[in-house]
Amino acid sequence: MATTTPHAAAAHAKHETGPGRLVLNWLVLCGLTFATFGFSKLHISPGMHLAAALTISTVKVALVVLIFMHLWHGEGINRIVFVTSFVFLLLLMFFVMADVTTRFSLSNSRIPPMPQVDQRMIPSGMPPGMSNTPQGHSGGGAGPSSGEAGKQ
Amino acid sequence: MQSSAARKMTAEGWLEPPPLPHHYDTIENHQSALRFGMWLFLGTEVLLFAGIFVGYFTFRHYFPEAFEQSARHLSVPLGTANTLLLLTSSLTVALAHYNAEHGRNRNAFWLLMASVVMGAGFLGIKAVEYTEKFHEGALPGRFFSFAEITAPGGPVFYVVYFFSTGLHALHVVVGMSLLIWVALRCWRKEFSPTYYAPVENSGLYWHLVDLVWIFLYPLLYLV
Amino acid sequence: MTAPLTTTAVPPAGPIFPKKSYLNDGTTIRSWLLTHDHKRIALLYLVGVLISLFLGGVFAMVIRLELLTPGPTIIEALTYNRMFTLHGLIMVFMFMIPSIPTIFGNFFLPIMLGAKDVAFPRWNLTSWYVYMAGSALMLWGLITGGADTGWTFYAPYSTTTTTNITPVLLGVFIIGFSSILTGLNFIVTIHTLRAPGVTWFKMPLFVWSLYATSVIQVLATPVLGLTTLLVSAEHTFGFGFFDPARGGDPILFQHLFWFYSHPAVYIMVLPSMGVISEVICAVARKNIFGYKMIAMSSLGIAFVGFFAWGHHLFTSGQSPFDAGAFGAISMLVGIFTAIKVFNWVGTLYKGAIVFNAIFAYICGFLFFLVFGGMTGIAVATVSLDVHWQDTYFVVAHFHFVMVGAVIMGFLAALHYWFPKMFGRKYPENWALLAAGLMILGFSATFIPQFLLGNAGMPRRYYEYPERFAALNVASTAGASLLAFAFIIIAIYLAIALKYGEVAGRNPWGSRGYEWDVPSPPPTENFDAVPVFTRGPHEYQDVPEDLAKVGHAI
Repeated sequence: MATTTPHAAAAHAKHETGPGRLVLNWLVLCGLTFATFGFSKLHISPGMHLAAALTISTVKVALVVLIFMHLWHGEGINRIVFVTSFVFLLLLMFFVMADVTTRFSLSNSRIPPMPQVDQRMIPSGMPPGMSNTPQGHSGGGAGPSSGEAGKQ
Repeated sequence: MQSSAARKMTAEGWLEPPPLPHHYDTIENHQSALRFGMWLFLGTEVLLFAGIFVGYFTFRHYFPEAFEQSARHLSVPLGTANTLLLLTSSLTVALAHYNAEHGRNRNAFWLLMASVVMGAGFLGIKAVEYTEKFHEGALPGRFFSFAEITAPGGPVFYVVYFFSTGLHALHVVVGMSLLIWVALRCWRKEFSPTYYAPVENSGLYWHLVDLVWIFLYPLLYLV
Repeated sequence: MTAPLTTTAVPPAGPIFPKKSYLNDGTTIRSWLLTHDHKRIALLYLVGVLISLFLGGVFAMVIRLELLTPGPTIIEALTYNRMFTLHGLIMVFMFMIPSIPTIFGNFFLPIMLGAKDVAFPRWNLTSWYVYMAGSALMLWGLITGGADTGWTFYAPYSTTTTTNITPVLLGVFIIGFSSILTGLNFIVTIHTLRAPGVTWFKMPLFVWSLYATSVIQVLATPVLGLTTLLVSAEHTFGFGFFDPARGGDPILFQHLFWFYSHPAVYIMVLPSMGVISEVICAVARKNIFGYKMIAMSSLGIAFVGFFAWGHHLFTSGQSPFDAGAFGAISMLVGIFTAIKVFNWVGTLYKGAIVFNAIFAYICGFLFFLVFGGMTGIAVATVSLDVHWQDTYFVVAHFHFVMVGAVIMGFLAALHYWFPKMFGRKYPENWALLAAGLMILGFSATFIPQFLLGNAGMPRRYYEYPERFAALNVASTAGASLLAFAFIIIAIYLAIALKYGEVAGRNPWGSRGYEWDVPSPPPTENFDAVPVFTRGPHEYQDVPEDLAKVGHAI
């Protein structure tokens, strides 16, 4: 059916994203998917793997958002909304990762150390030499009955 | 939801658009507002998934070997197939929007149903993967018993894996429901050059589902 | 021939109550429960929010009564934990977060913009149902299972407790959805439904504050949603995301939780600040001092508020880098608040102030905001917070800003807009008395708590050492006075609803746009698109002229 109505003609002129461009976009996206896969096969450091994967993913997301979701030709406010939500995602990511990566800066291991318990602090009644490691605790269990609760 | 019962068929072969709500001045303003509202909602979905991505990077930092080992036990062919399925369904949804915008309701219907089928395929592959995990014992938290992950942190990887893909799969189901609903309205020829917002907005939701997977795929499967 | 009988026209005795308004446009229950009218939805929310305030207050009184004596007084320890959990959850999620935006925002935002309704009226109604459903689920969970984790439900306690917290968390998740819907609706309304001539810098300041609040609601609440899901999953399935024994990280919970909950306090306080900007002009009969600065500072608070959440984690074990960064940034928020306070005081200066109940609330607001805000800056100092963390000092700080500033704003809004919403006036003498009692009662409740916290009394403790008894008794006495003031307000407002003097269109002589429509307004707000010929809050150099609003009264 030919697009003869005035609105359709205007829309056609306005949105230059016709089926051709959509299919082309899809082909590029599939290509980038294979590129991601191919990159993962290379013998490079894990950090580089991550960087490459994230870069390609960002490009793919940008293509989907700008072309499939019409943000390129769309209203500016929608672009602001989307970018802002990403910015705040990065904000959350930044401070949490900053915490996690700098928390144990003086230790060799990246894994949080298991708490060391002074053996003298174990209440009497327990056999000597028994340690208070987390595996010794039951996973669930009744909460304390006093007024003490989580920290603020 | 505007009832289609009261709307009459026009000469061009689609139903006349629903009446403009009384507090809007023009149709363009209304469509614009609907689109803006949808983008705001997509923004909230981005931030919903933000937390789980933060969890991924946190635990990847703590347990890099476990994450690497676990990723090698995920099926890359299946993951890649899923990615291609979602990308293609995004294409068909975008084409459906294009068709609805030009009043070609039947085309839009078939394209939307194709997207739904591909979404179902995605879920099917995920079901296969999940079943495999159950048999291997590669499960989150206290259910973990997968001996092949020797580095500490195996259970945590699977918490991240199941939670992120599970939440994503839930969104796929919601997205498919939306697409089926809109497809039915296409069948009733409800959309025209002046009224196609439901197709556009449902499409936007589906594209978001695709976006989340575009990030999940390399992070989980390819590390 | 007799002279024709003439009668001189008798002027009407006073303002006339409009025959047709949104209140009587449809009187069935169905017309209320299925309404699309933003004003009716505002009243639906009013009912829910006031019930929440009452419930939260009841649990607060139980807490204060228990703390009258150092040992057990009226309840046992586990019940005490449940009480402060109930109090916190109800007050935060069912009262504070919705209160001003869903009642006064819903009612007045469209009118202030010259619109006939919000952008998506049906989603507006949906948000009320979602709020009620989520609240019901949360309350049911609290009453049957009884969460005892505190409203902050920290892991790993929340993930290992035997009390059934899953319905509570799901209830919170659902209420969060309501918050997102409201915020989304307001943002779209402000962008798309402003009447011609109402440019961004001609919007009333209440609208600016609602805009900033809505942005926070939309960006922050989803993270809370995810956090509740994670905790529920871990509690039910033992996933181990936050459990160190399984490799998890409890501090991760705190990061995710506070990423929402710190901006959440700005969701609570920004609308209250917007209300104050509105009423302060009406009460001082003066233009607002520094319109643009106040408008921009609202956005500033919303933005910077997102960068400050780690100040809740100072003593939790987060890295020193984060602690330092968050401490420094948290201070920045004070700058924007200070800008507002200076501008409000500048508005009062050389104004023709009417000393009524609303002005009393403004005074209370300014005092509590400044005092509470300054103590906020104090606890934002990492080295000082090490002493005050988890003590009553923090409790007093946030009650000063939450109850002090927000409730003052809420009550100011309720009194200022009561005539507009219901067409009747309340008795001024009782209102002034209640306002005074409230400010006194509030100060008496929470100032002792600063002293208690500084002396070392921890929060959420069921028992305390003997030496803290006197201040606790003082605090409970203050709380009783506070409760009494609330009861007085409830009574005279309820009576005024039916028997109050008819208010007329503009009993305050305010220049706000919403005072150009009748009291109470008709369903459509305006028959034709209104033209506002004056700026917002414009009192001087402009003769009183109505906006060109068309309606048949």
